[in-house]
Amino acid sequence: MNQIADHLPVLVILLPLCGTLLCPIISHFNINAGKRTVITALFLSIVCAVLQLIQVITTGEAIHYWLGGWAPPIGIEFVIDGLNGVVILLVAIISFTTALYSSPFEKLERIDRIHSAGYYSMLAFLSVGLLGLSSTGDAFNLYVFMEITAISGYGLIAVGEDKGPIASFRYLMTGTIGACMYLLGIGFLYAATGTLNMADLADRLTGLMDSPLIVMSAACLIVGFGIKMALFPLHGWQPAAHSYAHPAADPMIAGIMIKIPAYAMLRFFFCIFDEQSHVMQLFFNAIGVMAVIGILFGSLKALRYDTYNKILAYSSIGQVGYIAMGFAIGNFYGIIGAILHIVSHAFMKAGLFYTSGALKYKYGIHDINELGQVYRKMPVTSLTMVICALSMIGLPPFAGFFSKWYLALGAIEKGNYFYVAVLILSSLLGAIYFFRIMEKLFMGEKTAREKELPEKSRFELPWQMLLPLLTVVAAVILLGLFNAYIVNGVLKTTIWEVVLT
Amino acid sequence: MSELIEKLEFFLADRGIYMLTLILFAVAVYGMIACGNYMKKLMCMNMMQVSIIFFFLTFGQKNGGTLPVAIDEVLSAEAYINPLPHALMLTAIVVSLGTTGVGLALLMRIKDIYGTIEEDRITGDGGKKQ
Repeated sequence: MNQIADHLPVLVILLPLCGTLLCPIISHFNINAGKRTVITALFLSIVCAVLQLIQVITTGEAIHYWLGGWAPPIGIEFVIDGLNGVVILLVAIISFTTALYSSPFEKLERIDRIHSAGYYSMLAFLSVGLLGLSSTGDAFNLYVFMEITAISGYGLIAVGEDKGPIASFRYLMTGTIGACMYLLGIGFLYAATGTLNMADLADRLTGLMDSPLIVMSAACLIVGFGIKMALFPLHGWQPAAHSYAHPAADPMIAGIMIKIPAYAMLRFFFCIFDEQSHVMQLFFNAIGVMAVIGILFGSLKALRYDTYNKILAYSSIGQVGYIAMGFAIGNFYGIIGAILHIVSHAFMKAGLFYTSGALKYKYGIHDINELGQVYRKMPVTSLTMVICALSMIGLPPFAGFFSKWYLALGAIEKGNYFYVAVLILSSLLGAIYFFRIMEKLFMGEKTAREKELPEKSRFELPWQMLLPLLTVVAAVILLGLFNAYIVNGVLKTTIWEVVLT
Repeated sequence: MSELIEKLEFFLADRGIYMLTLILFAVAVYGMIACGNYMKKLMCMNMMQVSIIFFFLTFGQKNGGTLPVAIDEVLSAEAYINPLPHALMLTAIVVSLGTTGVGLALLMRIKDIYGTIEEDRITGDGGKKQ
């Protein structure tokens, strides 16, 4: 048992990877067994993530795991501290619930075993990439995990609706530019310091922050991460990709695939670069401008559409802006706000895409004008939609309120009241587009629907789909109610020790 | 004259190679934006990845260094070029192979659905879907 406990950081990633590789082989013999392998692997990954987070909290120290026993500046290491322990747990939970959520769709579409095996392999592979992205302590390793995430993401977007392949191809083009820019940034950093380990980079960069190599590197990294996280002027691929992805995989793609690059950006800009230096302050101002325009642009664009997925996709552009705004604020409250928003928005957006998938599954609804009176038939789905939407707007006691609250506190402490005004304005815009959806849901006329599944089960949806919905509702409420415990118990010390030094 | 050639050689080795890499990168990105054919876009994407690989290999090079394979007579690290950028780029080549494979598979799907891989015929009036 002790030996297993030593290897938790790598087991979290290794288990889904085993699932990815075994799924096609097992599916060849038995289609359900392959699917269950992936779901079991993702569940075990949650268990490992919980155990390692408990270990980090109780010992109060970061876990350094050396892959293959090679010492850090030469070998690759995984570093788990309070900050990314939380992010890893988030990724593991959403991956597991999404895998569970996908199984009813398979019966609906009557797909064969090759497609089923491919779908579950890609889902587990996406989870491998995201988990690796959040746990690695090596800059080049991060590139590899970023490409793993991207490649499985392209596949999951392409198996979606008719326009999926086009959306996926555009994302492939833009995403590859992003990855190349990241690699270029890493190249500059390596040329300047001769190391790729993140802790070592931070040490060697102390006197170098004004060197043109580092300035170029930071600029390339902003473009690279900006494309991956769909920050405002670099968001072109995102609305189509999020709208046309496979409805079952969409919660994962929209929920966490754009948040984890944001987390990696935090690592680079606060843990590796010296955030107090003059150069970085200028870059943070630039990020702040992009964030503000992105927040307003995303919220205004979301008002224009009637397609449920399009509204959610444009709202994501605005929400990613909040995270970037937290980086631009750059003090303790700003960082807390950004991290809480990464976690809470992942749950909220995943929840909204779970409801979108459920509506497609049961009634084939894409347009919000067809939502009339659906709440009578699907109470749990409607409840999830309402709670996630209220949380997105930022009403207490839900999770979304607290991240915005910390962002506002940070902006006030920094004396930047313009950010506070933008936060309030965009919350009001958010209220308009979410209340539009809720109005259609509760007060709209019942319209003719394309299809209706015969009532077979006792519940409104199969239990595999209800469980993710309820998990998200519980997470949004608990993250809101126990907010102080999470901030004080897990994040506070890590942020003071690791991020703001 | 020989002095001039020496200076030119120095300039090409010191700065010129980076400029050529930058030009390759810029041409590739321009091609990805400007080409209307998805296949050409994919080829430009490959060019872009190659330019990044060149960039890494270039800064791994040094004057008078030999291949990073241990030779019995030569013991100092000074005599060898840095092998790490080469190792990193092997990984990057594998990644770019994977990306290209996915891109080609997507193009086949697009061709099946729309009957063409020309961007203006897919988004404009010519496509089957509209």
